Amino acid sequence: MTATTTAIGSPVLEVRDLCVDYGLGDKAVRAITDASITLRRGEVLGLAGESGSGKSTLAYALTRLLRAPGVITGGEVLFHPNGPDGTAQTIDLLAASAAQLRRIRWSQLAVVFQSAMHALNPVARIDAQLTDSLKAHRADMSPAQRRERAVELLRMVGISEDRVRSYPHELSGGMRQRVMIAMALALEPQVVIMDEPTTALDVVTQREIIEELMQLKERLGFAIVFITHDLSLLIELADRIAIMYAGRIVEQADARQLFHAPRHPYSLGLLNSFPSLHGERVRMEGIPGSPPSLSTLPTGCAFHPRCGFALDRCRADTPVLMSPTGEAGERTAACWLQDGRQDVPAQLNLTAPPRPTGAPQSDGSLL
Amino acid sequence: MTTQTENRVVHGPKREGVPALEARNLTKHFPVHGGIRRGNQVVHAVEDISLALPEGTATAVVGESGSGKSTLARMLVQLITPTSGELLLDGRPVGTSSRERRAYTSQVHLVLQDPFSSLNSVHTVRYHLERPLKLHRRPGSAKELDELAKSLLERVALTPADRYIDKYPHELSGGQRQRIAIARGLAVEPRVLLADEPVSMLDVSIRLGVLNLLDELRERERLAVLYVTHDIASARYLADTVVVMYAGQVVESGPALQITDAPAHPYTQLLLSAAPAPQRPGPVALRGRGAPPSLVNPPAGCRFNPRCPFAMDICRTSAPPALPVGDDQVAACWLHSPDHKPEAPVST
Repeated sequence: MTATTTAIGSPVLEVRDLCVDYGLGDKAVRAITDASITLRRGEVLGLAGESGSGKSTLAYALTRLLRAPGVITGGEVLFHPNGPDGTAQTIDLLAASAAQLRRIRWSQLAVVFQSAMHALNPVARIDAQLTDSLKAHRADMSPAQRRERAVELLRMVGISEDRVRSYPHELSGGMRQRVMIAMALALEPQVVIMDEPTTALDVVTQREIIEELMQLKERLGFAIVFITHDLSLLIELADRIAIMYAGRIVEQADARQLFHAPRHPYSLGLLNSFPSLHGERVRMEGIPGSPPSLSTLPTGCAFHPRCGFALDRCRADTPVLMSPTGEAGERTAACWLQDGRQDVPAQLNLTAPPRPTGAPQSDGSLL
Repeated sequence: MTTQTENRVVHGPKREGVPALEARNLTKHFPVHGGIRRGNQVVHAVEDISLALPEGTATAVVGESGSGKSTLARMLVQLITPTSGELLLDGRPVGTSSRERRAYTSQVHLVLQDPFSSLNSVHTVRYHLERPLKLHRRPGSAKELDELAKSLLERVALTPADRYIDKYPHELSGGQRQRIAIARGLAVEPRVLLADEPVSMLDVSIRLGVLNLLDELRERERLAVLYVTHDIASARYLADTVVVMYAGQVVESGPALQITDAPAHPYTQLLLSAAPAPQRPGPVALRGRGAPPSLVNPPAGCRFNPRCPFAMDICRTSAPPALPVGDDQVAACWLHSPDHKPEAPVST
């Protein structure tokens, strides 16, 4: 990795008011409405939501991989990679030409897809697939150098050298996913977008891959957008989390704060949907009802039919992301309960305990 | 939890009386065909598992993919014929005649993982529910059939039943479909309900609803529930007893809270340390990396020994028996044998 002269923590990817529709005209379904996220250098931004919440669509849209009938109808995506001289550039991804995108993809912005089984070419050996992006982006490398790099990449993700000539079907699911990660990191991109990278894997493999990923992130300094439906996993690995529901980001907060002190009823419900591995066994209810269809969204706040705290206003007006009652800083929630006009229910007004100083703490009360 | 009769360790909740369904020494070896150099080999999918499911209890079988948990469930509903071992329904051996098999299917029912493919998309909910009713309950009139079908929907909390009964599967959400699949299972009035990963395809927010439904059925209708899952946290939430499987064998079983709070087998400890748990105080220390072994040539001795951080010489040569490690808790691990001192302390 080239040393970054731009400070860790400055924005590397900014998404502002992104809107995505599926289909055109009257039949269009709004999949994402006014999504804004900021990814900073070296951080892990988690994107959590249920199926149909638009989290994968967001990933596809901001990398310009969205296929018809998906249409980006508004907003902007700004990418600030470090140029060769170490200064940050700014590229408007939504306006970028095909040639520009080709230069950025893999080299500065890489994607790891959910199903490595389908993302890898079944009839090509993995060394060929690993060196493909090197061939396209590093014309000065000799075949021997590329091969060496492929071996080095595999070693980086914990796969031994003798696997380099394997076909994807000869590898286990975890190894295939590791190959996908190695491929994404081949050109040392500054942003890696991971769409459910470990969902199809067993928990032990998932944990191993995530540990490796976090070590690589520390070493190489890339930033990650991590998309998953598993909020409990996200809380462990992400720095900040954005929760999506029915195409909107409904809450954005520091992972710890979100876990200990959610501000949106949907976040609270999601947290209460994961049975705990510790403490008393208590009956939990999850969230009543089921996620709405995007073609028949409820009026007002899309969550109100399932929300136990819904006000009259929630049925009519759509809340926007704002700072929750009594809080300054960066966290936002899109909920009328947090607009300061009424008392916030106690469950949505908790304060996160101070960061632990080594002593184990019990949080059985929350989950 | 476990009773030791002769040399057999029976896993599952321990209750007075005869269990609704009991499996004795179930073993399944799948033959591997083809391959010039392979010869006639077998996949040792499930090895010698004895399980008792008393009525009104919930048992969870936890394991990774390939651990044999689904094979076990399918053997229990006779979708797969075991290589050896027998099934006992209410203490009586299950016969093989077609009449007995039909009687068996009305007592033991399996709910499958994927409600998007286990329901026929060209038929309505009514069709799905009325078919087993006609076959197994033989109602006298169309009115009675209709009433029975609607009462099934009410039992799985799809109310009012009129709203759902004439819908097609595509008009329902994942959670509602899984409820239909469970209602269809209840149509035959089973005593034992097996559920193979019933919530893993569902959205996170509605999973608990389906798990709670299984719990209500266990409580209200005294069903014996077997919940097959890879998610040990949900097993802890639902089950009385957790049975942990690894590479076709039971490595540990016991009361759910005991298993998750004080796991005795190194594999259970590994599984628990790998599971996402935001309230975990410290960073994760994984002990026992790597992947499960090939079940064509499983390792000699304990099948976990190549990954086990505590493996001793004996682990590589002889398979450990199920040893008692706590109240009703057994672990198949030499570390708990008084004759074999562990080389490293085992923390639980």
